[in-house]
Amino acid sequence: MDYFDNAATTYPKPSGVLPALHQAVRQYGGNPGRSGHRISLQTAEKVYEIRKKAAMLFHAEAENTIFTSNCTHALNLAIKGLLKDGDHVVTTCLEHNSVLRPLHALSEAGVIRYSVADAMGEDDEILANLKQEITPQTKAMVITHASNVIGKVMPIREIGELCRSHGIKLIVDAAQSAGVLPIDMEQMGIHILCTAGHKGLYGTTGTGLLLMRETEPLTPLTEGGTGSQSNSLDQPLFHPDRYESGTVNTCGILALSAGIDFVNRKGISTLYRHELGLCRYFAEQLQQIAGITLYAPLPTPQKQVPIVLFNLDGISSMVTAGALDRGGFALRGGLHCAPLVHQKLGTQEQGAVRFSPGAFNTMEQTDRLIKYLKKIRKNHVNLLEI
Amino acid sequence: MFLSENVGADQTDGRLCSAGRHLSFFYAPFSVFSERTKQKMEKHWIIFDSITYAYQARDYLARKGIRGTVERTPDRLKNRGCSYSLSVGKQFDRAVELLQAKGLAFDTRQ
Repeated sequence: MDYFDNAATTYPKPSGVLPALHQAVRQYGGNPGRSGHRISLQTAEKVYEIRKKAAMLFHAEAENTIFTSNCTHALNLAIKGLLKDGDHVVTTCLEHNSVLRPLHALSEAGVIRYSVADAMGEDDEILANLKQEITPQTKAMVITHASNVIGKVMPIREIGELCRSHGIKLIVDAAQSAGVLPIDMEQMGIHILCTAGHKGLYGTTGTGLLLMRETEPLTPLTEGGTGSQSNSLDQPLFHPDRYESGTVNTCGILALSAGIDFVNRKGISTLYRHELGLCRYFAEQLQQIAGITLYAPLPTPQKQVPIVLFNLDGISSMVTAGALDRGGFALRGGLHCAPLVHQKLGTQEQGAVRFSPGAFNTMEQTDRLIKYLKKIRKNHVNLLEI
Repeated sequence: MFLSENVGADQTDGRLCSAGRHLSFFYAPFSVFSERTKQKMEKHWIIFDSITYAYQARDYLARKGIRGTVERTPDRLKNRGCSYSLSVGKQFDRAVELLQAKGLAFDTRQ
């Protein structure tokens, strides 16, 4: 099976990830930050070292780096933790449901109002659209760093400046960009960065990160045991304890560490060049096949993350993805949990097929996929499962 | 570790009310304790509510040439339940000074 669904989760994982999981179970079996015995303390120290490593990747502070169970968890914490009654939020049509649904839920509950800015144009237009939506009540912008559907990279640094000039907090969804593009929270003016640990950071599923800078304490999503200030019924104010009630995912955190080591060793720019190169080649080849529609410009450095969105004309994306699956190719069809961008593309019924290569994909695999798509277009493949 | 009857000698208790460089809104409380063992060896703890801050302080002091060990706070020194301590040796005063200089302010109660 040739796997091209790395925007959902990267697969396979780097060779260091499985030994890290073994090590977590064998050597770091204590509950970190809970007990005083050596097994607990050495696990706590390991988790702390990984917290530092993760923080360094985004130029954040270790204590402000929170382990979550995925990016959605981090975004929910950021959105529901920061926003208060009467606040207004600006977001974009490129967002994933992990941003849109929490905002919608808060809006339905009468807590906040939110505006959706169009983000399908050029960067200048996007900035103008965002600025236009700002009101005196605007507390935050919640913006994806890169679209999980069309791969567009948002001008986060400029948005950060816009937010700074209006005293607005900037929450960034980096699910598709962490480990893919360099991220400096301070330079980019990001107050809260949310990401998955199992995508471009090559950890295992069930891991995510929330990193924060210069923002007030968030209301935690969960309260409970933190291994600190146990005499008090109040949730601690200090980080990371405030947001990490209950035992953390030590196995996942160690695996994430191995994933980050892989990214650091290979280099973000090297990985990005490799993956974007495959995307560009794939898109160029698809352009030459009649009856295939591409939904974004040819992949361009710094403008897009390694994603190519396409459809076989007249065929449901789910049917295409199903046929590809039977042919030995793992790609995702459907709406990719981002309905608004599909409305903009006019693909809300058909959905679209997403090609998202990772570090371990090769040109040979990509060629095999192109060849198979050509076969489908020439009606040499039965699209419907028998 | 053998602790003397003289628990609490030179004891101070503190709570951090403002925090470090980038933490203007957050609490990173620590307090300090010293004890003298029967062998007249002094042992000092800098107590943190959060194990993360204890490790951060350890790393910071290590860069300044002061070695410390993170351990669970001895039961009799706790006043808010679970916490972790950085145990430092003779350079205790210097360690506290450095942590304060870094921005970790605290109030003390003799």
